[in-house]
Amino acid sequence: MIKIKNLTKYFKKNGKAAVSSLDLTINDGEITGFAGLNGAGKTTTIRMIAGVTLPSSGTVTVDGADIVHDKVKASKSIGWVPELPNFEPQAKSISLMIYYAGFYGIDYKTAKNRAIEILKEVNIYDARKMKLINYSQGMKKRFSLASCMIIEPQNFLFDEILNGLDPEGIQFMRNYMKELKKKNKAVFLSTHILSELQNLADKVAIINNGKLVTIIKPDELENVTKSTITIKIKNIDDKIMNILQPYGKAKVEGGEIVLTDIQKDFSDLNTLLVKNNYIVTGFSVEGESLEDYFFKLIGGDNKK
Amino acid sequence: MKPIIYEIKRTLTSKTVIIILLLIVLFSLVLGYALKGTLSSANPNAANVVNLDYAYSIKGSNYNLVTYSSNGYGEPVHDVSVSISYNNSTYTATSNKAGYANLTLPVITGKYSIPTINYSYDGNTISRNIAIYANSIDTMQGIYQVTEVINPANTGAYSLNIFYYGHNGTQSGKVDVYYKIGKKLQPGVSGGGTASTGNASESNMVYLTSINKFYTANIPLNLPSSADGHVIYIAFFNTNASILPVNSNMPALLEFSYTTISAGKIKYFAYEGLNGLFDFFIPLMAIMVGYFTYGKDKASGTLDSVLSKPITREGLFTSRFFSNIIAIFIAITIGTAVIDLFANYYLGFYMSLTSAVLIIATFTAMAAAYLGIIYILSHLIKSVSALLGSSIVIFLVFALFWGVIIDLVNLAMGNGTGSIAYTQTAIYLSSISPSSLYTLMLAVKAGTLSSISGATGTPSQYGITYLSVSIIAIIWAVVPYITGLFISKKMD
Ligand SMILES: Nc1ncnc2c1ncn2[C@@H]1O[C@H](COP(=O)(O)OP(=O)(O)OP(=O)(O)O)[C@@H](O)[C@H]1O
Ligand SMILES: [Mg+2]
Repeated sequence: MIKIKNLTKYFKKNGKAAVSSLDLTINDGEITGFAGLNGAGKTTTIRMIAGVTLPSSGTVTVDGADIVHDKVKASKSIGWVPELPNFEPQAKSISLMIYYAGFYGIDYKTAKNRAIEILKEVNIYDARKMKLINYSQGMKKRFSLASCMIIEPQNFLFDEILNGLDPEGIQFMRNYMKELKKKNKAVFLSTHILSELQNLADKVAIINNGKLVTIIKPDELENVTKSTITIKIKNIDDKIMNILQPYGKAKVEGGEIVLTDIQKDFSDLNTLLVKNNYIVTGFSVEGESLEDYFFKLIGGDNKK
Repeated sequence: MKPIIYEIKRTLTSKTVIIILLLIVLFSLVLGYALKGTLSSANPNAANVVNLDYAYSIKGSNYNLVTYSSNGYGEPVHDVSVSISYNNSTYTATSNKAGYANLTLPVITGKYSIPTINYSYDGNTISRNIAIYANSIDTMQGIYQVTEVINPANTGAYSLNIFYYGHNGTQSGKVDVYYKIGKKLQPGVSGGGTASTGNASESNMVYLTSINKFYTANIPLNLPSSADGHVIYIAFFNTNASILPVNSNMPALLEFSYTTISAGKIKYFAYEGLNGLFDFFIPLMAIMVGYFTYGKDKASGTLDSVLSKPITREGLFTSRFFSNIIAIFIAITIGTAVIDLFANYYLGFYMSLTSAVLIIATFTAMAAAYLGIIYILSHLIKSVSALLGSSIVIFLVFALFWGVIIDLVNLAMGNGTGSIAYTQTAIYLSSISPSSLYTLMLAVKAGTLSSISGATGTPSQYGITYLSVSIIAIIWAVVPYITGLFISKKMD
């Protein structure tokens, strides 16, 4: 479990905060999505959790150990797959994994056997004689994952891990994350493509301009994927809300009524409105995706 | 496996370290060979050189011409065939075991002649003109003919080879040999030939030795070390304390260049050569190693993949630093051992354990200094190319052009070469570059500041001792490292 409290990062003194007062808990047995546009601060947050970027203020506690003050202990329970994995270019996979294993006190022989086993599992064993510099981006991601698996830590940080993988790789990763969840591991998965998280994440933290916008809970996740009804009416008045109330949550947005959280069958709604002397000029039903919801959420913040 | 072992292995087997080690081996081979050349050019194969002196006396109606053949060690050479064309005839003789050849020539009354003597040995023929005067009171007898030769017992030192043939073939009586030390040998100042006696006397010269009853004599020039590298003057005094003619028909001082080659000196040259070699390659190795195994990894983000493992920033910094320094230490030790083997092969000596320890320790400290500087830069400079550029600048300024910078600063301050102000400034500035560490060490070892160009005097005059240089070395080894460690903990 990872507890993030008031986490803030300034890259430049007096500059804009890349991450600002972020509070978040990444629970065991859950896949926590982390979504935001490019430059929102996802990578910066994940790097601070991984202990490779120093926070300007705030704390990250990994299974009780502070990542700054008790780094060795905290790092032991983190597996991090960076957005763009970068390794000692001239090294080869097995020897580098044995080197990494040394940080966990694993002896040479055990490390070597384990390395071979894992490399086979992530399907890059055939490239063991190749220098890492010659790996493709997807292969580097697989190797990065392999290097986390040496000890199977309790917490996993995946920064845009599905990005750059082939379909087989995406399938493998999605299944792998579900496996981790079953093993009660805490998984933190960032993406700028919200739909990646559909049918995968248990909750999604939305970050924009370094600030946490909201956390979408599992039940909300289900709800937001339901339909949205947009009704265009010329003569909106207060009374209309009473009519719409049983159908769901109604909001007036720029001369339109947006109905979400649909609670009952709305096939008779249009007729009902007309009967009540409303001039309906448009009636559309859309299945809202996470994506739409996401842009709706951050829309206000993002108009620059 | 302990990660530090991987890191040491990675550093030691890196292209940088291997290539530089190979270059050190190659250059030390060249150095050993060159030093051997220095040694042999100072000590030419003296056995192959033949020098011919001559003298004559009159017996009745004939001249008795005596030639004396000796080699570059002042040893007599036999079987030198001597021929002279004189009065339309050719007279020949061959030198005996003692180097002498005797020729009998008729006196042509009232005639002064300059015939040519040809002498041949080993297929070489050398010609020289001699002067034969018409009467018996001639100049070429009763004059000490003196040449500076290599001391056969110590080929790094000299002897005086003397030939004397008196009137009627008599031996020399008692001669007291004195010397005087002249100017320091420099470009433009060299000894050779004869000089006027000036006010030279037994009282203002130094007694060397006395010789008596000889035709030929060989006296080792055992002069004090203060004479080394100087012009020296030699005078022969008779029992009345009057200066005798040497090599000319007037009383004269003989002038020689006196530069000995001692085993200590060869070692000093070897150490200086080593200094030059390591002063170039060790900073280069440290800077490249620091750049390739820490700086580049840091700037390119590669280091993050390691930092995410259970290790602290300081831990990673220290582990990389020490693995680098251990690898460089091993490389320096290998380099020193190889140089020592070459020195022994070419020059016939092994360095003392103290010298070896001093070299390895000093250069390791120097490497630690450069490594620390690169590590600091790695934390301050974010881009790979800017870091590489800065590393190159550090090498150029501190390792390659520091001597030039010292000269320029002195020039700007108006300090004349060799002055106290110059030397003081040079020493202060030397302490500011890690590259000067071994130069300072060597200065203490040799007891002279001559290894710092333009400096004069002794190191202790300026507070340069083993202790002070060791303190500078420790500061250089530790301060950049500690600074870097601190930065690594506080900064990304
Ligand atoms: N090392 C750095 N130095 C200075 N600014 C940085 C650094 N790393 C990130 N930033 C800035 O911090 C902000 C957040 O960047 P971050 O990489 O965390 O975004 P992200 O959400 O991961 O974006 P993406 O989806 O593109 O990966 C950006 O404005 C970025 O320019
Ligand atoms: Mg990112």
